[in-house]
Amino acid sequence: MHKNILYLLSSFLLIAVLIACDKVPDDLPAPIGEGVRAIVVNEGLFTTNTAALSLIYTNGNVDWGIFQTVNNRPLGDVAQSLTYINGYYFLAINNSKKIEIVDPKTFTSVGTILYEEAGSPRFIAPINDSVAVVSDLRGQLVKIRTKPPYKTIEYLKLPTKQTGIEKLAVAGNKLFGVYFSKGLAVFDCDRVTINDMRYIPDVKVGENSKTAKMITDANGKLWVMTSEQDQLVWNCIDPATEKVERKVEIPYIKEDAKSGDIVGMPNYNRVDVNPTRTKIYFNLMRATQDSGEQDKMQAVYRLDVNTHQYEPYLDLPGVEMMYGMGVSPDGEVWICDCLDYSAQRGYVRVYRPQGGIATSYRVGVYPRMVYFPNEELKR
Amino acid sequence: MSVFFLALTLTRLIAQDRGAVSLDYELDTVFVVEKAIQPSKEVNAGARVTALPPEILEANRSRTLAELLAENSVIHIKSMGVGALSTASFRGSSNSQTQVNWNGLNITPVMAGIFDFSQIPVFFADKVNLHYGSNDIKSGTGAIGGSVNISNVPVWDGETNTKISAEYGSYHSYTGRALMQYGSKRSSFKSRLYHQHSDNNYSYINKVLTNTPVKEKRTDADYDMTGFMQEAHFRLSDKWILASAVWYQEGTRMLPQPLGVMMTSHERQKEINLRAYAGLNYYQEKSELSFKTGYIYYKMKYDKWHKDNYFDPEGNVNASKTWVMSGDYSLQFSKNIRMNSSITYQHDIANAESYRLIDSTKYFIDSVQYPYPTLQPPVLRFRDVVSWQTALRWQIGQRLLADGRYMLEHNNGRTVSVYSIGLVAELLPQKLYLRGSNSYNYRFPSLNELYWRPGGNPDVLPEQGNSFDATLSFKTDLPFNLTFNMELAAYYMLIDNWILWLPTDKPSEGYYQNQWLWTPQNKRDVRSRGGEAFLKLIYANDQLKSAVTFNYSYTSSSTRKKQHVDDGSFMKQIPYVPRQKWNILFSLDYEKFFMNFQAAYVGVRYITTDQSYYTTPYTICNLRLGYTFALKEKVILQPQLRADNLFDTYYESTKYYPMPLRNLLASVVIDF
Repeated sequence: MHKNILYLLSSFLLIAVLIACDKVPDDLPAPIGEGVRAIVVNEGLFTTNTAALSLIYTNGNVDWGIFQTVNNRPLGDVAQSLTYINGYYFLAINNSKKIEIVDPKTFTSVGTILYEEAGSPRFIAPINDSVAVVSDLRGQLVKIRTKPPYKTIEYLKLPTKQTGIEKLAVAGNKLFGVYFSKGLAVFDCDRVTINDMRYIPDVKVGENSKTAKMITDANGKLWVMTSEQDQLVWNCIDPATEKVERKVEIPYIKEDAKSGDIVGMPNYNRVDVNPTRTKIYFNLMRATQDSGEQDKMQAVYRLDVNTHQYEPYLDLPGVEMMYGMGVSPDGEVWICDCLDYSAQRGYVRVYRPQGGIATSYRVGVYPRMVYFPNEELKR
Repeated sequence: MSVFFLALTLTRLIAQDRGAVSLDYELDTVFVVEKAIQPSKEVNAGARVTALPPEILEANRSRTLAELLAENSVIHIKSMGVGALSTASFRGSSNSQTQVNWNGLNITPVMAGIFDFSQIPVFFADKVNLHYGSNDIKSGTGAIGGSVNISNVPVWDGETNTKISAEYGSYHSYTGRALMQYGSKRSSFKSRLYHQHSDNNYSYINKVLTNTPVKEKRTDADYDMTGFMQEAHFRLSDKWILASAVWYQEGTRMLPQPLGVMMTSHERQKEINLRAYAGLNYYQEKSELSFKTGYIYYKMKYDKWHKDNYFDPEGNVNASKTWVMSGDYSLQFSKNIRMNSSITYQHDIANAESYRLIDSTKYFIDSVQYPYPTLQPPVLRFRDVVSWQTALRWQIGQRLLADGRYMLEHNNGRTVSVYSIGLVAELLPQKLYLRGSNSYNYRFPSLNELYWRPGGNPDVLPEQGNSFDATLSFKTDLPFNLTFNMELAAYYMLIDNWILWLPTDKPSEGYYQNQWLWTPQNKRDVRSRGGEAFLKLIYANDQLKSAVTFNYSYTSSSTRKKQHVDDGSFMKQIPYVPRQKWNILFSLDYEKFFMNFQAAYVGVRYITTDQSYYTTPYTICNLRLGYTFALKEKVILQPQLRADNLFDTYYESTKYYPMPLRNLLASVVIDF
């Protein structure tokens, strides 16, 4: 019996050590489909390098981690934005403190700009054919080369250290930046220096509209959203004069609101524009009952840049804490759904212009931006 | 009630004084089966309890408890590197559901609620016992997954003895430690001093940051750790024993960044821990009474600064103090029934800069500029906990023992009841035992979860755990001087109201409007089930002692409720809980030569709740060789050589935090 126990033990140990090993899960799926309908930038879970680029193909298939698949390494930690410059995608990777430059057809990385100094890259705006400005979570702007050799050029330190400029836009050969709590910062594209920075002080973007991107419309005007306690304001700015030439005020009904009345805006508003740059899409809260402010839902509204009229475009029932929004060339509204930020892959919900969800795509962790590539970039 | 193991030791001594015989049946894996009722145990007799063998503790004296547990138990350790934050989880629970007790005093940090095992050198522990499941209700609520119990043992009637050791190795790592102990019939003293430093600048290949892999050295991973412990025990009379200990420990470490992040800023953490207790124990023929008071002080200073020094440095200082008082009474009603009851009062104070309502980025909202507030002094937060515990142990016939425990805890206005019931059956005399238990436990939110700003949620509910387990234990002697031990355990746990930090769009205290604050929420219900195996084969003769020890665990821990329709985490493995983990240790002592060879495997661990991302499994092997010289009659010299990660395996305990490749350490121990 004792001998048997010894044999049993030896066999058990041997078998246990041999079989008690996990099978490594399959790698990310290979690219599938033809023709990229949309690219989704997924922020990923902080400190885990789970930022990802997801491709949504025209046939409905999704390659949710194309960068990892192609480059055999993660995209980085906390992807922030994607900008098309000089034929490549420039991806600001916030916590990695780097910019990845990606080929739009193969999605291979053609270069990486690493920050040598502290910073958290957010958004990128090209100011000429070889230089772009990268905004930061705190008080600096960083100039980078957008042609090989890709590298940082200069760290511009803003007057404030803890807050600074995030959203950027170029209009009329000028660079505009939303300077948190100070106003709209303006630079000439050929002289982006701190000494040459000036403000449009009456366009102050606060906490909850700082996520709304600025729009350059078909007329060359710049549209900037600001939010006040009782209204949302669209500021139309003439880049040449650097003046607000018109304000479109959208008041909130705070008392005795009827169903359909505008009662506010969601925290952290998102904005997009149609391909002809004549319609700006943004979000408001609408009352769903006559009882007042408590019963409300998000809705997409549309502002005509020529007539300055705004109108409800699409209701978004059930949408809360939206992390990103894009409006496709077909007029569909694509909403990023992070599933309560519960450390898992999220969805992009596609809403038909006439209402209702057309489809959903499961993408990467914490989708935050939807980009619709130009026709010539489609695979 | 005095500390369990201290009390146990003292009780045994007294029992021996009286000529009684201890009938505890204690193996490497302790499965206590008593034919007569012994003084009350800290944990239910039906629960699984394992004790790390003394020779394992001795072999790891210059290492931390994190490394010890990672390689010699089935507990999962999640480590961000040697010397960096290392947390432990039992049976698929979270690291905050693991309680740590030192001589019966709950030393789990009251602010973070998570214990960092990298800050506990094994040197300071004489015994390390692991209590599995929710059964440990003696030291307050909190041990939903299990508890780690560190204890110190006095040296009555021992000779004066001093042990000095120095170790040096790779990455400019060095450890110095000294132990002095003195014991007489009336008193026992132990003094320990410890210091460890490591530059921790090991090399690895970074394949993450760019397309070009780069060989680089780990930066910002250096650490220093210094500790001192003084124990004093006095036998005041045949019936009275006074026990006391003070443990001071401080550590300074840099906080390394994950791969894939450019190192443009630096973070440093300095921690101070002071733990002390004093207990008075009174023993009579059929009863014992003890009083105890304890004090715990914790201070953590965090600093962050940036490479170019343009941005302002950041940092905070947070501290906490805890006072504990307890009284404990045990009574042997009859030959077969023993009861125990205790009452404990605990008062916590957090003195935290991180609880201040300051967020400089949020004072311009909706075009309104709110004034920046004047910097407040650190915020004081208090918590009072009163608990009453009672236990009954009943020997039912020769081969059956029943154990029931109940605790009522009043924690800052909330009252909860917890219980633990268990049975032990001796199936084959002295060979085969079956134990089982069911317990229900809570974990109250930590002070950070309640009061951290921004985001602390005073309304978050306690987590609840209900666990069932069964353990089969077998021991037999074999021919050829062999001894075989085996233990097989299975468990089933339900953990509800699991707390997660998630953003909310609801109003938060002190904020002007909703701003997507990350706040603790009761968002997960978990089911964990699995099995554990322990096997040990020992060979011993006059010259040679050898043993093979094997630990294995299988854990399936997953969410069992959907939070929304598309919840991808439903029925998926909880992040950083490996399904499989095993370790095997071969030890050999031949006359004066000794060696250990160890292999430890950790299976796939998922990073995200939907299993989309994972860490690669790994097997790490360590080797230790040594020789004992007796220089003079009382002087023993013991040189040792240790090779950690012998086969140079690249691995990550936490994804993208590389661990050291092969590293060598040489040490010498002088015992006189």
